Amino acid sequence: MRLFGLTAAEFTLLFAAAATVALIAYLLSFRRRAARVATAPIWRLVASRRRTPLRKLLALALELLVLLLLCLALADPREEPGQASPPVYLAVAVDVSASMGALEEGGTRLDLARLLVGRLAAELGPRDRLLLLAMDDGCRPLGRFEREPAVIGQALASLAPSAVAEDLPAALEFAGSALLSEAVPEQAERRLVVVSDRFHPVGELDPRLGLWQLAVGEPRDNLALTAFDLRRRGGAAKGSEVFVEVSNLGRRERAVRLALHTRAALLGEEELRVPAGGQTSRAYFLQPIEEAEVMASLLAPGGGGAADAFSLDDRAYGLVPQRVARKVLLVTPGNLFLEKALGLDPSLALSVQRPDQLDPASLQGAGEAGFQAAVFDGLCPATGVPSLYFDPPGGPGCPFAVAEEVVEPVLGPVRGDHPVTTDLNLVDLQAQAARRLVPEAGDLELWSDAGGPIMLARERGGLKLLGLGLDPARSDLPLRVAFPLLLHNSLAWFLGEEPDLGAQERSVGGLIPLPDWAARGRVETPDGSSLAPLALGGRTLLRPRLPGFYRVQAGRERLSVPVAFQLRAESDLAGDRQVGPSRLRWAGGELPAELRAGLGGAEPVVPPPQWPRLLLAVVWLLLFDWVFYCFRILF
Amino acid sequence: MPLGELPAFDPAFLSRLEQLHLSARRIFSGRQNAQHVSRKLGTGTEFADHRPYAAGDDLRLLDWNVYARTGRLYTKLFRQEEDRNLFFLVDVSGSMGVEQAKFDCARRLAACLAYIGLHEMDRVYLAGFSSGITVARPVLRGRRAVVEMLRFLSGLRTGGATDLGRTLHHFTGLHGGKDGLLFLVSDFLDLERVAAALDGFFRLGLEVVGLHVVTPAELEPRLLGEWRLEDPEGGPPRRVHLTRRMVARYKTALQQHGERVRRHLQARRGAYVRVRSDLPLEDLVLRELRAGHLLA
Repeated sequence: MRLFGLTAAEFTLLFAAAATVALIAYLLSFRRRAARVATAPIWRLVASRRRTPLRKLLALALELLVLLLLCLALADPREEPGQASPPVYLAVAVDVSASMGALEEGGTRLDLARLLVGRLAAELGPRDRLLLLAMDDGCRPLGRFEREPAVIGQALASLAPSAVAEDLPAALEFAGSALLSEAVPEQAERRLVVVSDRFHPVGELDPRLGLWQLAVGEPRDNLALTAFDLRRRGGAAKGSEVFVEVSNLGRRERAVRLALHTRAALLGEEELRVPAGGQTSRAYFLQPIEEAEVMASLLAPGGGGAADAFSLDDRAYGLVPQRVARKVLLVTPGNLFLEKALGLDPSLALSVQRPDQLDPASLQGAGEAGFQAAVFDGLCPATGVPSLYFDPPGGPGCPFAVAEEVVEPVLGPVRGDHPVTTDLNLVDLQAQAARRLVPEAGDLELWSDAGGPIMLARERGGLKLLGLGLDPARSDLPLRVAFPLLLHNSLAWFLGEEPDLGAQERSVGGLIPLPDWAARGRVETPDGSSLAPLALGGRTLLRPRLPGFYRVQAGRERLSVPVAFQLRAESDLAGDRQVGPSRLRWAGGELPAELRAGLGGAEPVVPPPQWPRLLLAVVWLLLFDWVFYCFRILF
Repeated sequence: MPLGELPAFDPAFLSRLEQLHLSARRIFSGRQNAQHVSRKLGTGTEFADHRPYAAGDDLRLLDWNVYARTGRLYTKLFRQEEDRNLFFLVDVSGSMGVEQAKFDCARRLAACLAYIGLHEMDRVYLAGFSSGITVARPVLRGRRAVVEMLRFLSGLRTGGATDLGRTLHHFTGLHGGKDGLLFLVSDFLDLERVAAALDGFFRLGLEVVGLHVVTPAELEPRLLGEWRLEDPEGGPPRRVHLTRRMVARYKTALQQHGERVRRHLQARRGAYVRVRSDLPLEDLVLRELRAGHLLA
């Protein structure tokens, strides 16, 4: 019931004023008039008993009731339209992540989700609305709040499973903001329904939102290729090494046939037994082949069929690494740590010179015969190629000015956002002495102690220089894992190479850096479509949404990028299926009663105004009051 | 003529009053000649009987016609005409003074009847009573006492509570042993003692005539709702919520009170007349009292 004519405060004030007047009149009525009557003895006979004020009290109550009804009539009370059955607004986020493409009886899990949402749409009442959302690594609405099942069915038909993971928090935020928008009536019941193949942990939601999670499908076993990588064999050996890992995400041991192949040829196969919940890994030598693109596939044992109900993780992609000869000059008086560390990198064509053998002409440009990078140990000549200076002594011609030497320096952590120091851990490094470098404008301090920089990165006129005021022979740096990594990162930075990405980084949904020239070209996706690389923060990136080989081409430059499906959570076809509050499982049939509750409410009937009835009641009460008055006077 | 609040009577009305005389159901013995028949046989004008002539009888009383027809001497006997005692007790209690018209009516009524009595040469005793006889006038007789009678009645003032018992007691002390006609002009609102008092008056040998004075406001009270009823005779006030039903009960009670007084008087050969104060005096006297056989 709501007052349309007056506010609650106005109604209260009005009734209080009227009641006060009535009460005053009631109290005044007790002021009796006086009359001298000669026949007082006769009056004493007939009016011997005192009249109780009960009738007057009843009359007062009647008058107050009449006043109350009159004030109510002025306030125009009406029932809330649809109060008994508020409309239900549903935001249904349908999981279209990779696992929804897993096969169930009669279709995929997404087909079950479509069926479920279709039945939910059929239950909608005239005032109920449904907003359909597709949820994978993003959230996108497939229309607006709709009531017609046919329109919702069309949107459902447009759903297709992707090859990426779902981002539930983003979807909940989107759906929540839609349900709390002005498009939803204030009195509506807001329900957020997540249709997935598993239950997800959910954080705190707005208290106005009701959350239901529905899991479709049945838990199933699944085998997945969880690791696949190739690398060149070391030294002078030809061919490559292949590493494969197969995981069994089921509850029983499974046999599977692992095949290595290219697009045109089978390279080999092996039948594996993978324990329940465990992994089986294999390393193979791969003879040199002409094709660079190699794939691993899981097949049903004894045949060529699919290994399981989920095929996306049954194939992995890799490239046979190509031999790259990067000409690097090392000038050292005889530091074997440097020589061996650089010599182990098969992609380097290392030249080692003594300082007295140094030919300054070889340092003036890359050219055909020149070096692409140089590493100096204890000397600091001017150079035209990217160079790394260990313990530069300073002096004329030295690119880095050197300050005082610090004995047993206390070094801080390295700056982690530079390609050279990526993944470097130099904490507690012990050094006998170190030289502080004098930074110039534009230099980046990558490492320092309390008094000044120890490592400086300089990039000027396209020439990249790196100075480290530390003698490797007088510290424990060469004994650390960070030492070869420092050399590798420095040379990669000098040569403009991105850090080598592992298979995890080259997975769907991630960001894969591309060479700078890729920004001018196009990318052909595994399904044959073409897209432009992303340009983000001065870098060229690829965001793959399908596993497979992405071919980048810009002019004469070509590059193939293998993208794996390395989403373990998606490969787990069981997931969390523990029902609980607001968690329902559905495997077909009737919709859960909890989900249907409140749906199908009729159109709100505009409540008629109540004031005519109130006035009629007032008339009746006044008539009764008159009769009651006459009764009081007569008797 | 110093008559106070009482207006002078119209000469025509007075002449008509002089043609009336007070009738009584009983015959009272008087002391002096007057215009009323006595039990005694004497020299009156009303023939009573014959008796044989005896020596010494007044020869003027011989009935010569009988002697002529029968040859015997018979003496005519006549009723002796004597005067009577007329007592007027006028209620001057507080209840009579609530409405001036009521008290005036009572006094005028008493004045009219006293005038007639004086004109008939009766002995007229006037007194006012409330809680006893509060004021009394020695006997008046003869037409020349009219002015004195009116002056007395004009001087009456109301006040006090009605106590007919004490009034009877005082009356007995004043006029005990006298018979006559007692005119009790009152509203008889001494409910508890009225019957006993009337009986006492009858026992004194009086013929009691009750003149019950009522007013229209008493007969048809216009009181409804909350009222504080004050008793002019000093009784405690009463807070009442008056309804029509209660008023009806009041009317019935008032009517029954008058009926009780009437039955009481008539059962003892007395007379009762209810007098409305709003009636013109002439109608009251010439119609109501004559209809009540008080006047002839």
